[in-house]
Amino acid sequence: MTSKPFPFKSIKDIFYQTRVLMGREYTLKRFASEILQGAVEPVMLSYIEKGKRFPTEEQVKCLAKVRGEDPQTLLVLLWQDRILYAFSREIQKTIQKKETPESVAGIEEGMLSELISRAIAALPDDGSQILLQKWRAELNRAILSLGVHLPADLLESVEKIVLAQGLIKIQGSQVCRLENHYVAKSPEEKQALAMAYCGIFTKSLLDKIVLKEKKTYLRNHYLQIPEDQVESFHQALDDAIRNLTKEFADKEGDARTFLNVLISSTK
Amino acid sequence: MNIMRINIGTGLLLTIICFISACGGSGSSGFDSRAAAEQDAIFMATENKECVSFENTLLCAAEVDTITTDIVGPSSAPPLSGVPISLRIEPASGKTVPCERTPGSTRCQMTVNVIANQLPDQSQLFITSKRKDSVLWDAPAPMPQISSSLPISESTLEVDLLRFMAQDQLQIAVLLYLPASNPPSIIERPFLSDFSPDVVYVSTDLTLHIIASP
Repeated sequence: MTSKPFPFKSIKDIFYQTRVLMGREYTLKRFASEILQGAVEPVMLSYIEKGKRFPTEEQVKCLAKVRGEDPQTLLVLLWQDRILYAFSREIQKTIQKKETPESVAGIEEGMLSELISRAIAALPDDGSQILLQKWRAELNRAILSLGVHLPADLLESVEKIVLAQGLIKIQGSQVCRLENHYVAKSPEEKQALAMAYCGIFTKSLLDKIVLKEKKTYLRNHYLQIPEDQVESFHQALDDAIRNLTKEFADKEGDARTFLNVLISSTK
Repeated sequence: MNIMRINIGTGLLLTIICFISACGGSGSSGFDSRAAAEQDAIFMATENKECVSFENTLLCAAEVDTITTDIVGPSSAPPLSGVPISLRIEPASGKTVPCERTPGSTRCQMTVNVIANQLPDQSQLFITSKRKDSVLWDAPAPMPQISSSLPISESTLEVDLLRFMAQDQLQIAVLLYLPASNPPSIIERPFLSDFSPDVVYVSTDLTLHIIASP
């Protein structure tokens, strides 16, 4: 048994990865009947792998047994997906965005925002240029780490948004950062960012209460403050976090770990 | 000078490290739709060197020539209707501005000039600034009074360098309150319109050139 964190973010990817790693001869039908011992129909397995249906908890436990892993680590992914799905349906009503019936909404929507963050974080803070090819390769690595069956034009979409918002500048074979704060403007971007925030919070919460993950920080800090000081407090909070993220991003070493820090302060 | 050399050396080293391995950067994201709309309005005004209306406040580029109180906010209604206003702010957008370090502090000081050609007597000017992507404009500070005999107002603006990092850019805004208007209470605000000025002159994308104090 292992509690090693998965490089994937959705339960659908774990089903797909497990089948593919077992070999090409394991078709949906054979995997469903022989490996999962009929716990899931082949058609349903296809839907699960594509993210169009959620597996049941029993099916996830069955998969965990096949993989020789703690079921909790896989169930967490299922619970996370379900929370994101429910949140996505509700937030869609508030943002007045068109419905996305093709796949299980919510899970993939957050990826666009996550990739925008990664695109910015892959460029040096001091605005110096790096090779465009290297930056795109870094983004492709990030896309691969997010799962399978993702839209083919994800890299293009991310590049288009960061360019349109004036966050980066491409000059010949070089790319550099112009700004470091991305603002979601269109309803689609707002929905994607809302889902990314929800994803970070949901993962943090489940990491803490289910997996007791030590590498996740989750705390509520509170204070009594005069009403007219709230905005100044937010400014100071923003300054402090910016300085901290900059300080640690600048540290020497192979910066391969992407850390999300979600800050919220509300009355 | 030594410090400069060390900084350049560190920058070069960092660039080399970035080139050969993965280099860590940082950033942030947010909804901030009001802030984005204000920034869009500032961009439009400064790019076209014109005035644009944002939340009932007239935002003008630092270099804009003359406007009349006909197009200014509601507080400048008659008897000031039709009065021409002509002033200019230095530095203009996109400039690199010398900022002299204040000894023993993390701040530096830069100079902002307002040159008025036509301005109603008793008009009041305030100055505020912020880092471009910051969430709050600083508390506005009053600028020396401008009169027909003394048409230039020079102010020293203090910038807290702890809030700045490489590539950060500064925005400054000069708030104009015509005689009939009430100046702001001196507190920080997230948006220029929250200060309720008649006109705001904005200079954006300023790069600070930090110089040591003599």
